[in-house]
Amino acid sequence: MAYFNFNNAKIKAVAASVPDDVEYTTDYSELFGEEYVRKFTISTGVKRRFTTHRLGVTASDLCCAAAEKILTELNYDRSKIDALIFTSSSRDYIQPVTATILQDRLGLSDDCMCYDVPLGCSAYVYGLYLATMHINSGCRSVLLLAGSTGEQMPKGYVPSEIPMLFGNGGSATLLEHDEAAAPTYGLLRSMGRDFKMLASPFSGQRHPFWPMVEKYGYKKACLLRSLFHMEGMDVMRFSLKEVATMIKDFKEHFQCDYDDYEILACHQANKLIVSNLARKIKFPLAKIPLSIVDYGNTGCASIPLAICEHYANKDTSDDTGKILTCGFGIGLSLGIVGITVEPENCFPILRVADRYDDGIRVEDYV
Amino acid sequence: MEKLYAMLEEIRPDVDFRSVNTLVSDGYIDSFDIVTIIASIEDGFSVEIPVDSMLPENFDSVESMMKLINAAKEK
Repeated sequence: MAYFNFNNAKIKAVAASVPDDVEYTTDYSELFGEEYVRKFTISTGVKRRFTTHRLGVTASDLCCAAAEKILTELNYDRSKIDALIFTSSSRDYIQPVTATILQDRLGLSDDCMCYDVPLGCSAYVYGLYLATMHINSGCRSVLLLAGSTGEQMPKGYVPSEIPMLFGNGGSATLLEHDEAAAPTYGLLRSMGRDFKMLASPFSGQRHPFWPMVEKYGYKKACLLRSLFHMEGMDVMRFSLKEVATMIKDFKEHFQCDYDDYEILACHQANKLIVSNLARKIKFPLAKIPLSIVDYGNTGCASIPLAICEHYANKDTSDDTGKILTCGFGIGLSLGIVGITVEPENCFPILRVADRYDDGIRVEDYV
Repeated sequence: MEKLYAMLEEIRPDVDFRSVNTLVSDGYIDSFDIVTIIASIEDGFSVEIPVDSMLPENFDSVESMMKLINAAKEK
């Protein structure tokens, strides 16, 4: 049972960002048919999303901009940040980790430990656990960065698969040691037995690229390498059964009353899953931000993005900031964490257009 | 059965639920439709359909959906 309950970790601020390039779902009516797009929008809720396939902005660019926003707005002493965790599968390089690149970009000290956690849609809740654990192990402050992006595509790119569900986003959450902080408590679970349900099965070393080229030819091997597989029916069943069960177990273990929470910042898988999950756990749908409508399913970033979208667009003077966060997806991996944010420090969603130049040129290597 | 037909035809007016018996296996309806159908059945028939029964064979025909509803009523 991976229940946890930590004190002393105050969530000082949350910021989120998206690439500065919007696509509307209806932009794809001609390619996939008006009726299909209409039905897609009703089921998923996605009306628009922000994408990187033209700009080439990466998850680290988005997270870096969100982190800069927090550090600048709070005029924060960067030397106090003792850990940076980059929770994302959208890495700048396979090697090294992206966290060290971000440490350099953000001007953090050499005494800051940095590492990646390559999870998917549960990344943020796992990251909250790790960050609060570090605070309780002696870190003064921790930067938790979570984001997801697709790759930049060549000019004239026409998708062969339905691309409208997934948007891109990044986020930063700053946690600080504070003995008066509200507790951070939760439950994390994993179900590796069902990993094939959501996977990029040919993306790594288990099914290596060059043997696939030998067997299937270069073009098919490239297609296999970038393939993302999702068993729709199984994903629905997982979301409505295992996630609902986890939330009920959490509620019972911590003796929670839904009325105590301002929102459930739930991973934005799709509108149908979110609304039916709310129905299953009997949580008022009106208290679940549906940021999927304007941003799509932004993977690792969807929870902090939903938090920012909620608090940044309202008068927060009477808000307590006590919320539930719930992430679930690829792995399979899932978690629910109760936190308290400072509503006035949940910033409006930024738009990022600049792609970082790392100074690496192909000519310097070959 | 007519009540169920009416519900299904409201969800997917373009599908001939009265004659097709391979609704899922031949791709007439998908996982999004099934979740919508379950929610509609639960509200309309005041039953709870177990999530585990969200399997293609249970939604391939109106008859199989009716069996699910009857089994849920008996619980």
